[in-house]
Amino acid sequence: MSLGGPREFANAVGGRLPVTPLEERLYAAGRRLQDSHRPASLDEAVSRLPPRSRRRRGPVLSVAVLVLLIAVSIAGVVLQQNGRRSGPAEPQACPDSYPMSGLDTLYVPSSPVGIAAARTMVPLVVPETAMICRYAYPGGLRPTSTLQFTQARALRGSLAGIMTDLAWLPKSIPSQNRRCVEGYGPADRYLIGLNYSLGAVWVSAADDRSGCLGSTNGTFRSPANLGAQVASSFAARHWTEMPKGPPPPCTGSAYGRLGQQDAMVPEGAILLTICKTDGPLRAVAKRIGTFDPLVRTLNALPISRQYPVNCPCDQVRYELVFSYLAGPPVSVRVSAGPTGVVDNGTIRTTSAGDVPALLRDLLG
Amino acid sequence: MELAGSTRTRNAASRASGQDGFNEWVRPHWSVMYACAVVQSAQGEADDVVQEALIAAWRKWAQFDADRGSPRAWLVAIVLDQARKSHRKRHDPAAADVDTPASDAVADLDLRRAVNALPPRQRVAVELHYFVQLRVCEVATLMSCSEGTVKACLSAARANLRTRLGDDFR
Repeated sequence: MSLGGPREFANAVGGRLPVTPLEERLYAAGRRLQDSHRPASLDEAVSRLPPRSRRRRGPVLSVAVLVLLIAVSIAGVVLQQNGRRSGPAEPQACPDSYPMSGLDTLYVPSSPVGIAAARTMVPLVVPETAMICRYAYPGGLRPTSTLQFTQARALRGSLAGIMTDLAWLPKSIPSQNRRCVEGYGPADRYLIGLNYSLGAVWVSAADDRSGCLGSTNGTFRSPANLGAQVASSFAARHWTEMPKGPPPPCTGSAYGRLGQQDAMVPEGAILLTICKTDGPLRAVAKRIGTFDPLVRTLNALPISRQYPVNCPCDQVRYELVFSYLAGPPVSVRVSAGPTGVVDNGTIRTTSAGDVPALLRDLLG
Repeated sequence: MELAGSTRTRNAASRASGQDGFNEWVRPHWSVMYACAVVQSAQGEADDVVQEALIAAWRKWAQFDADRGSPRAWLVAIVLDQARKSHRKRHDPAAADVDTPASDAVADLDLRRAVNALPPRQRVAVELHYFVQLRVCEVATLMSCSEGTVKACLSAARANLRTRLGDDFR
């Protein structure tokens, strides 16, 4: 199955040239590893397959569905009672413990109430105070253990940055299940407590480095993994803002932008940067100020809300970075092959439609 | 091409319910499955892991949904799962690859030991991309992360490897 030399492989997979000596060695080691292990015969392996199970599963499934319905009903009642009892908590003090139901748990002591709480992670208002609570996850702990409070840090300095970074976080869509095949490990948990004149919001994040665990306020959930940023803010005792300044021409925001769960290009974009990836070579970006027809076409494409999806691995691809007056940019990837799709990291279309042709025109 | 292929293969899967159909469906991905088993399993366990993965895939074949990923990603994910379930120690590079020339074997030994020492996510990304030769976007699908995350993982892994292996690998 070897694809030849590393440069040929890099070309085939859309990698970048030049391949470094380290990569040369990695590719070569991989080839030698494969060459030294001849695959077993598939025909032989298939001949050893067991017959398909013909066990009736109807009654078992019915019981499972019944148990699930009862559990959901009980959970609903409990949640409603909790909501009525507790309301928004004042994060003056960190909770003593952080209950875990699994390695992917993101816990908040209480969820914000109101419609706005489901629309954004935090209000677009500078908080009066902010603190970060850390819950260290020691190695060897069971995934369902309760983490103990480790340390709290009040954040100093301006809190405008934490407002901007959190308020613009994109929202997860229901199918955006980011469970990892492998790699969940012990990951420290953080609770960000934000105090406002009218109440408080807790935001839960995990420093799992895998990027798989998102963040939540208990009601609004985002795929954005804040772990590194929260950990560095905790250490620095002030909010370490998301990298700003002139971004690399073909790179969008690290987290994405609120609204990209509803539209491929949320309203208000003022600048478009087009990058074309043709094989391993990345063309120079082109900045364009008039692109309304392109946005209309992108937003009219039929949307699939399944994510992640088949990768758009076609060789010719475009990366479109839409910038805004306020808030982070949106990065849209367009695959221009015969099975082309468009995706912004949250939603994707079922085809690329006329977008590749429009882009070719824009690039001249 | 993946999307069209996936749709075709799913239709084929629904038509062919027997082992022959399954055999043909798996065949294009068999060598990748095996390579993944070799990289992710303990020494000498690849045959067992890939056979168990094949059985699991056979049992779950009807549940395969082309809208949720390509056959290749689905099959490799099952291999990864089986390798993890094997609960055995990972591949020891020192005991492997008797056919590899001595000079290369020593270099590979150092390199693969360094890869084994990487943090889990970096190791998986390196093994799937460089050793199994999956595309970055395929690795992203398997790790349920964005391509950007995979590229960041690979970049961090390369930096780690350079630190561990020294100037010869820059």
